[in-house]
Amino acid sequence: MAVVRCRAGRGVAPSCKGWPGRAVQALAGWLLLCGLALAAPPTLRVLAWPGYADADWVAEFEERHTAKVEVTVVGSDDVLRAKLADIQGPAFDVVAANTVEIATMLARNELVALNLADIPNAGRQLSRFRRDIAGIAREGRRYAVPYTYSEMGLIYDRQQLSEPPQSLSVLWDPRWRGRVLAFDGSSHGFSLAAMQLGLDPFRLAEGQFSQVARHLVRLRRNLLSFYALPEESVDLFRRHRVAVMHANYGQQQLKQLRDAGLDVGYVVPREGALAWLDCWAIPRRSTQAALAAKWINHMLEPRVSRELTRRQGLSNTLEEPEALDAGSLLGPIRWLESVEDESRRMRLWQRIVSGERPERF
Amino acid sequence: MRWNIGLRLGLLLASFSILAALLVGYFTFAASRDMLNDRAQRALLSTTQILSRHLQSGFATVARDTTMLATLAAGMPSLGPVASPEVQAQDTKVLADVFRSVLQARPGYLQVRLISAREHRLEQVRVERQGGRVVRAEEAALQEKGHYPFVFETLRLGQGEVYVTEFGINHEGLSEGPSQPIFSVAAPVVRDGVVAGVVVVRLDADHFLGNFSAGLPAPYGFYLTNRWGDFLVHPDRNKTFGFDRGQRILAQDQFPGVERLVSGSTTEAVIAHMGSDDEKQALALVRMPFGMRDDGRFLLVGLSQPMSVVQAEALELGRSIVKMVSILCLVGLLLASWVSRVVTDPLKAMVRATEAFSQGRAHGALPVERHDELGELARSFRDMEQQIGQQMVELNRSRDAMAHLAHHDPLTGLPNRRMFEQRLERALEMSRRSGRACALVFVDLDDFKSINDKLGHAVGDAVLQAAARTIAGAMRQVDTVARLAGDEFTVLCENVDTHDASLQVLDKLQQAFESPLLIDGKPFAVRASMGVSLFPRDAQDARTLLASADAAMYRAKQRLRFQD
Repeated sequence: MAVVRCRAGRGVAPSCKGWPGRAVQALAGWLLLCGLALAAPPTLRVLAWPGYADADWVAEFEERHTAKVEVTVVGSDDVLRAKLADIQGPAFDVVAANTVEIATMLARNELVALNLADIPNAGRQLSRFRRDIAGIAREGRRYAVPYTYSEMGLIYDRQQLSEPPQSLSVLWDPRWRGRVLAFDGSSHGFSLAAMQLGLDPFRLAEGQFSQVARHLVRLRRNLLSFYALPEESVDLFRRHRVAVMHANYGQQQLKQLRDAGLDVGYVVPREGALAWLDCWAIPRRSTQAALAAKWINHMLEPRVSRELTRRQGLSNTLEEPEALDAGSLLGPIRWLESVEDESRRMRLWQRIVSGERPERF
Repeated sequence: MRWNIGLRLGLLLASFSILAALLVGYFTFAASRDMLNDRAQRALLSTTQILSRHLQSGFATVARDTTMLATLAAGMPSLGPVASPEVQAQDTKVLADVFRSVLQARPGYLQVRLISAREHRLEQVRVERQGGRVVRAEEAALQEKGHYPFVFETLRLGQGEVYVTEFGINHEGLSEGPSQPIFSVAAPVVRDGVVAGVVVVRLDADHFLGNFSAGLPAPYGFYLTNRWGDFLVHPDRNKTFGFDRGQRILAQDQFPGVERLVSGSTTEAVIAHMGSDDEKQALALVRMPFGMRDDGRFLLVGLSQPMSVVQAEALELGRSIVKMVSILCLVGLLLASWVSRVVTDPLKAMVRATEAFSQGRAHGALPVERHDELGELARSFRDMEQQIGQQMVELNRSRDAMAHLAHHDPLTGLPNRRMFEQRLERALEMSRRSGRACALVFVDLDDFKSINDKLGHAVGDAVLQAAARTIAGAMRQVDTVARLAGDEFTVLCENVDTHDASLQVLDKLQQAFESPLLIDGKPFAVRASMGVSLFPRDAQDARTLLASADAAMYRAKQRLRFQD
């Protein structure tokens, strides 16, 4: 199953203007054309997710750099890939994509190496974002700058667990049998079990698959249920007195549970937490690389990044999120990487979720 | 076109009647349309409610089947922990046969199974439809199902209760194909007050819902969403079960007002929206309680109809009203033209009468007998006409008198010099044309001055009057007798061809003065001297002719003096 992201939809509804509005638009367009004829400001083509490049930030950037920005919004990784692969369409100058997609593009040599001196705000980022992150760096050169992320920590009921769980093994703990929730996703499921077993979550060796699969059966036997949607998890959490949950939607899920009146805590256990991380990168086809670097720098302005967190509920790369204080961040955040064999994980996962007994793996 | 009163009045009346008809038509239409639309929307909502009740009874039927199977399973002693494997195998075979017959009897059922509460909720019996055949799963293929809601939720239920799962795409095993919409109904197997297992019936959602939506006529669109608003049934199949593909396609994002149904602030609604083919649709949605326990779960059942169907009656009404308004307008136009004629015909008659009167022609009858303003106008006009007529008669009379005064001598009543000269000119002209001569006689009373001096002017005047009468009496009617001045008279005799004839005229006049004139009844001898001239013999123009007659008269007066 593909990564399901829970993002607040911030699609801009097309405004319904009457003809005076159109007339003004036409006039504005004409004036713009005149302006173009005189000054011809450069156009920056941005490919991003909803809410990543809100109109006010775009306007501010346009004014500051005397440029025109065209934002194309995508809602899924598939569409993002299709847009970038479309040779007929315009060449994007800057793109927001997760580490897995960035890694794929980098492997295909489709990205431009960044000169971080052009992006001074990158220096303001938390140290873990300034380090080389797998998939976005190669041969000591950086090809993308992290922008926003969501880690998949553990949510626990503070009434039942007086202390935050230290380890992922809490999910397997028979003490909580029937009061554990896990996400129904093959790729993350295997990575989770591998992390608990101390294996590389993204690169399982041939002989490790049955070990991990059996471990997942053990997890299944300890579960109340698998969930797919965040609402579903809230409903189950409330109605079945769930003790601990692997939160695929991270802090957004935490907020939903707290909004539902539940006394829950959040923790990244010592084995770490998987996280998707969206980064800005400059495709090789870009014709405005210098302006694109300015765009990335603009997006890393503290004001813009904080506003992203406020508007979208997503973490930014400049400040630690409130939910993740030192006591809650017990392990590393593991940025998603492409896995060794997605379809194999999916086939096995389906059998696990269907309820096959461990001896069949 | 003349912009006359009739036209104006007609147009005004016609506009009023058309305006009135249009206003009445519009307001009638608006009120009735709202009523009809409201009724049509209520009908759509009622249909949706009926559909929702049918769905509920459909769920109840499946629930009864499931409960019955659970009761049957509870009666099998082999499910207990102490049964020997042989007994257990025998019992499960019996149960499998029952499940098989149920599947054969109910084509919408995909699978029936018994799941134990023990052994990690391992399936005990699973009978399912596979490629048109009903087969029982091998022991090795049985699976642990404890993490499915139909197990962990049902295990909490009591005898006779059932759990209905959410609608979803089947991912449990691969036997039924990858993307079949399903839902399951589960009932607890209660033995000795303890829940020992669960019987689960899995249904083909398309088949189950098809039972209800199949009977709907073509223009209806059937919608179903789960409690979060995800489409389960949509006329566009691509919009269903989006959550299964990692995308949420929510009714509240597509239709305004669904949010309130999802949040529970209302339980039914009719909303208008644009359909996929750009046709406006009316969509009735009903929040249908779902699941047999009071857990707040629900489905949204929706029926859509093209707005044109919902508004068909209103449109029909609109057409009738348009017809009615057209007829009213036509009647209004006819009435307006009739009224304008009624008012303007007498006015036109008056106008014609005025025109005729001003040109002095006779005119037709006026509407004087009317008792309204027009009658009054006609009577005033008639009175004015009569008054003007009288004044005209008097004016003519005084004009005639003035003309007479200008051309006649006031004392004798004879034409004066001016008139005589006119007549003389005319007579000469006639004479020149006809070639017939005319004679001019000049008469002068003898010693008139002494009469005036001796007897006074009154007698003088009387003498002049008597002389005038005498001269006029002696002459033909056609001859012109005039008094030129003082005691000088002239006589113009036309068509006097010869000298002799002129002498005869002179002779006749002289004879008239032979006898004394009568002044106040007394004889008074007055003598007159006369001379005649003949045109064209004596003169070629009026002045010379007059002078010639005057000269002849003077010679005669001289002769008379010599005789005296």
